[in-house]
Formats: sequence, C-alpha cells, structure tokens
Amino acid sequence: MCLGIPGEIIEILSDRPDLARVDVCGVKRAINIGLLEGEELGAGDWVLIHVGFAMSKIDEREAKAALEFLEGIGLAYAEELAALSDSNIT
Amino acid sequence: MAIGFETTAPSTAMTMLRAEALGLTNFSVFCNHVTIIPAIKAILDSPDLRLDGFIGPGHVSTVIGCRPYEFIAAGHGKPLVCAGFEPLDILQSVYMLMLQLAEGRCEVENQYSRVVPWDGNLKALQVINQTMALRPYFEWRGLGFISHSALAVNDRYAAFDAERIFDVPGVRVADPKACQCGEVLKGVLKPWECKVFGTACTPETPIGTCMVSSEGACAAYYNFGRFSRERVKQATRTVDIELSSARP
Amino acid sequence: MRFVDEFRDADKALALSAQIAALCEPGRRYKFMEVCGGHTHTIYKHGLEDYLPDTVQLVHGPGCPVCVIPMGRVDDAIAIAEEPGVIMTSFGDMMRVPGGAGVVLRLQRRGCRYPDGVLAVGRVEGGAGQPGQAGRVHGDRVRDDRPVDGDDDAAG
Repeated sequence: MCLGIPGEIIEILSDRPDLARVDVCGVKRAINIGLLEGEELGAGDWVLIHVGFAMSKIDEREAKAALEFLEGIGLAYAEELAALSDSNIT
Repeated sequence: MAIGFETTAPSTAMTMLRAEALGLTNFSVFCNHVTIIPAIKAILDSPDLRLDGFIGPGHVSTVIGCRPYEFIAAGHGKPLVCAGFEPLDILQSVYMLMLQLAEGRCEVENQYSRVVPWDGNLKALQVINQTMALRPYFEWRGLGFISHSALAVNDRYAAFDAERIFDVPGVRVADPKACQCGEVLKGVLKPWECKVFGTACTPETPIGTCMVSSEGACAAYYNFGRFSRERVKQATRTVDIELSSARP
Repeated sequence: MRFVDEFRDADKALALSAQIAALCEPGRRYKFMEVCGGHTHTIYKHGLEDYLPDTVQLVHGPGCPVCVIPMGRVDDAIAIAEEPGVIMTSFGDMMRVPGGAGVVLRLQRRGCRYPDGVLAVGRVEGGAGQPGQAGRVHGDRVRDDRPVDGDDDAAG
C-alpha cells in the first residue's frame, strides 16, 4: 500500500493537462498529476508515483542534502576504521 | 473496494471526481480507507507498550504532512521521524531518533524531506474533504472500535457509495480463536511469537491478515526475515574476524 | 534506479549502524515503533534489525491498512461482488484476505471478474462497464435480467 516509485516526467499531455507521460526505469506510462495542481511541473522533473498518481514532486535539493549527510557518515566511519587498523594500541 | 491510509484516499477521491465529470452512473466505491493518527493515539493510550519513539509513515505523510504528528512529541513526549523506504532511510531515521534522545530533544523530524512536504499535499487533502467524510467510528482488527478513524463516501457523492447502492450484511465476525493478529498489529507480539506462525498460518494458508498482505509483519518476516537473520550472523562473524586480524 | 539505489549502499548502512551503537546509553534498552507497512517490508527484506544493537528494538504497529480490516467488512465486499453484474476491483492483497464467508478472490471461480486494482481509474477513463464484460454469479443466485450495457460496475 505504501509503495511509491520515483519517475521522470517526459511530457505533460497537451489534451489532458492532468496527465503526464513518465519514465520509470525505461517503462513509459501515463499517470495522473492532478494532485500536484499547484506545482510547476515539466519534462525532467521527478515525481513520486503511487497507484498511477503523482503524489509529490521530488525535491532534488533535499535529496542531494540527504545523500551528502550519508556520504559524511560513510566517510567518518571509513576514517574510524582506518584509524583503528593504523593504531598501535592493543 | 477502496483500501489504504491517507496515501491512497486521494486517488479514490480523484477517481470519483473523474467519474462525476464523465457522468458515469455505474461506478461506485466500497470505501475502507482508514486514518493513521487515531491508530497512533490508540497505541499511545495502550498500557501494554513502552515506546521510546516512532518511525513515522513515509507516503501517508506526503498527503497529511508532518504537523499532525506534533501532538506525539509535545503531548506524549515521544520523538517521531518521518522515514523513507530505502534501507538507509530507515537506518538514518533510527539514528535521528537516537540522537534526539541523547541530546534530550523531543521533536518531529522529516528524514524523507526529498518527498514529504512539511505541510502535506493541500490538493490531496482538499479532494478527500470534497468527496469523503470521517465515520463516527470504525472497527480495527486488533484495536477494536476507534472513533473518527476511517473515511466513508460523503452525502454529496452518495451516488458513488457502494454501501448505499448495495445491501451489505454489516455483520461483525470474530477472528478465529487461533489468530493473534490483534497482538501482532499492536506490536505486543512479534510474528514468530504467534502460536500459529509458520505452522497453521503461512502465506499459502493464511489464517489472519498479517500473513496475507505483503506489508503484514508476518508475511514480511516469513518471506524475508528468517533468512536474513542467518545471513547477517554470517556477515558479522566475517567482520569480527577482519577487525581482529587488522590489529598489529 | 535514481533516488533508490543511492539509498541502499551497504557501506553507509554499516556506518549508520556504528553511529547508532555509539549513541546507546549503557544499560538502557530502546524500543521504536513503525506504523507503515512499507517500512515493515523494508526492515525485514533488508534485515535491518540486524544492523542495530541488541538493545535497540523495532516494533511493528498497525501500519498495514489491509491487515486492520475486520473479517466482517471482507464479507460485506463479497456480498457486493456477488451482486449480479458487478465487477469489483481492488488491490491484490485485499483480494486474498479471508472473511467469514470466504475469500474475495475465490469468487472468480463463480464468474465474477477482478481486473487489476490500478485499472479502477482506467476503467473510469474507459467509460466503465464495457459491454459483454459484466460478471455473472452462477449457481443459486438470481440471474440479473438487465442488459449487459447497463450493468452496474462497482469498482475501487
């Protein structure tokens, strides 16, 4: 019930502005973007799709920030491990 | 038959609006949408559980936003972090909860900020309000009757309400005696602690709902959990060996 | 897959695991509840509990909206689906939940039709209730004499 998948907008349908053609891993489908009425949407934007409806526009800045946090955590961990193996304390 | 929390309710609402626009007379909805906040309240009021915090819903929150959870932190002193669905999302959310506890904070935080807007999706909330209304009460398996916890098609859209068009028996059916879904749903029992887990109750022959749905705790554990426990035990042993051999 | 793969990196998982362990107070146990079926699924599928120290426990709450539907409501759905001329659609999981009177999906054998749940929207788009596709319940039910074109199509 919760499964949502990210998809990239290819185009908004000209005769039905509440529908958009999206690409999800190479599979192209028309989905309903009516729930994102107030948002500016266009080709290249990413949306979260759930049962044929776009629920949210993916905020690329937030995604980038989340990944940077995880990179930082990963780096800190790698440094810790390196320090441990380099240490002379037994 | 419409099912789901607030995540899927907007889709049902949009479908009814489209049916109205097309002038359909042969379409209706048997509405079983439930709402998450009353369920969380019921958990908070339950004497069985002592929780330190919540991993908050992901896609429900794209609709309702993060504000509805504020009473959990402010009123009940439990932090909540809305989480995404990938492994790192969940682990980061646990990390954020632990950090709050360590720092003496108690707040609602949004780990899934790339998808969840703090204020939710106003259009989605608007179409739900336009087509549906809260039922005075609804029975939840395992939690009993909870007031204002489920949605029904409202009077304005009655033409699309299957419950008004068709005769439904409306009979309460008790769960089978062996079924412990209620306790699993409240988090009091783990799947493997249920007496019929894996024996009388399997995905092929389910007794209760926790084993039927792919999102049910029992089905998830049966299909994945049992094997990964073994796998990670192996991996941990390998890591321990590596670390100990890294020391000079 | 963008916005998915980056959040599955095993090394970063171990890093987070270490950070979580470092925040544990000695002698204290922690219990967090998740209330979302999708989270339950991810946690078990990826064995996330084993990335957590033994003192940090994850508990699954009422996050599966299919799981919380009582058997009586399933029977109500069956009653609707058994009405002559009704085509019922729902999400796959819901079709397999046992009610007191049976399982919704098994009604297929009695002539009812269950197109995919996502098609509920598609069916509306397609004008719903296409001629000749209405379901019929055989056996001891009264057959509906209404023409196929005007058959009820209960969906959603």
